[in-house]
Amino acid sequence: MILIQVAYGLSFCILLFRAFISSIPRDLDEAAIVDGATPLQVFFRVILPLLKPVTLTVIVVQSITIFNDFTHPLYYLPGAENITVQLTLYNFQSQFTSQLNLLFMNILLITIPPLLVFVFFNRQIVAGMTSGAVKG
Amino acid sequence: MARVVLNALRKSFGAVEVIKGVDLDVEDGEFCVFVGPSGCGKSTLLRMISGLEEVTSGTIEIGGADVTRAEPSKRGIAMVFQSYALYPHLTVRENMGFGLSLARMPKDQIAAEVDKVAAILQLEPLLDRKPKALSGGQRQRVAIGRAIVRDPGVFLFDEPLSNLDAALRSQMRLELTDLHARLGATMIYVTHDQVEAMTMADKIVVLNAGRIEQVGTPMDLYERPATPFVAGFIGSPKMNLFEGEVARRMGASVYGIRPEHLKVSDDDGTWQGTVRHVERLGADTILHVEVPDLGPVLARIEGHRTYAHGARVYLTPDPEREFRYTPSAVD
Ligand SMILES: Nc1ncnc2c1ncn2[C@@H]1O[C@H](COP(=O)(O)OP(=O)(O)OP(=O)(O)O)[C@@H](O)[C@H]1O
Ligand SMILES: [Mg+2]
Repeated sequence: MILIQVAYGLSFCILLFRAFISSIPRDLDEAAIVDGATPLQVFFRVILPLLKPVTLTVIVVQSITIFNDFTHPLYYLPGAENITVQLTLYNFQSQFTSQLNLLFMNILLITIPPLLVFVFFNRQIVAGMTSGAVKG
Repeated sequence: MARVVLNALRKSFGAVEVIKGVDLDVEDGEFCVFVGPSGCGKSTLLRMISGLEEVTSGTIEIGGADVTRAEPSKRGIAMVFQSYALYPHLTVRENMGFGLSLARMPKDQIAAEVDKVAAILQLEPLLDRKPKALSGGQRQRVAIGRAIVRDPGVFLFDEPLSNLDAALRSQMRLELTDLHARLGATMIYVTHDQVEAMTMADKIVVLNAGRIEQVGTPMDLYERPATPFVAGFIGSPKMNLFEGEVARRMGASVYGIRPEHLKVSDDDGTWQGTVRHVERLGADTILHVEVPDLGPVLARIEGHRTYAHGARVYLTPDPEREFRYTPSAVD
């Protein structure tokens, strides 16, 4: 399942990273080369640190997408053992009756993990989103 | 010792030849300025010396060693970019020490070197800031500091002052001249501003369309420009240049006279004309005079003399300061 999500997410991530890298001026690479950096050092000591904001954005956006994903787990993961939380919601709905009490309990439980993540990483997430938005 | 010698240097981008055979000798400790109009290949030439641009043919020697194919970091050079190119994620201190830390110098030694250079450039209060918290002039100083820390034999500057305002620029000009005297290193400086070239250079190299037009000291170029191109490029306001029939009557294919070498008189002179514009600069006044046959002519007079728009004046060129170019010098 992880591999499938990677496969689906990769194109979008590459697009984002590629746009961001092309916004880094060439002069910076050249300055580093004149300073004596090897190509690997240029990447790890200059380019990678500058990619921090976009990396955060990618992590946030992708985790939300994957967490909310319903269709892919439904198609690719049959059986009750390894379904994702979004699928469990549908256990409580049927054509004629819905166990609304259990359904809402489930929703509450599902909300907790992202909420916790948000509470603790609030600062980074907001920073990641804005920096991704304004300075692409 | 860091003498820079260029031999028959050429550079092509695809089919376009940008540098068309440059021979140049920059002495050790010299302040050499490349000037020329936009697109003439100044930056390309500098980048070839730095090793960022490959050489198509010819050789480059720095300090007696042939470095035509050497890595930029092995050439004993440091470069200051027009955009400063500071690493935005590092503090001023880390920016300046970056080259040394790549060379795996111990931390305390790097700190000592950085402090020493920061003291020269008065950067101590800024050492722990990030580049985005600095003004343009301060960034420029950090970029220069980063170059000095590496203790190169040759400094390369690509229009380092063009992003600064006029006042700061003239201050930085003086600082760079002081720095040059203090470090005694060879400096190669690219600019399209002839004022920077005149004020800072020991030697000016005028480039035009990928070729060297003339090499000389600032006063050499001012007093004895070898071609009309150099004559028009060096000196401000620009030299008056006439060609065609007018020049032929004066016995040349191009005739030139500087605005400051024209005597302006109310009643008598060689050429008669009407004042079209008056530019008052304070100490001097520049007259734009329309002379029948010649066309517009610039003349420079003292600031306290003024002429009304439309006034009739007479211009007389100083016979010692006229330039006459024969066809061979023109092309
Ligand atoms: N990578 C490249 N590929 C193709 N042509 C290039 C390349 N880099 C520069 N040129 C061309 O080479 C010529 C010289 O460029 P260069 O940057 O050296 O000019 P310059 O003298 O520094 O001008 P400026 O004063 O505007 O900076 C220009 O005509 C430019 O179009
Ligand atoms: Mg340039």
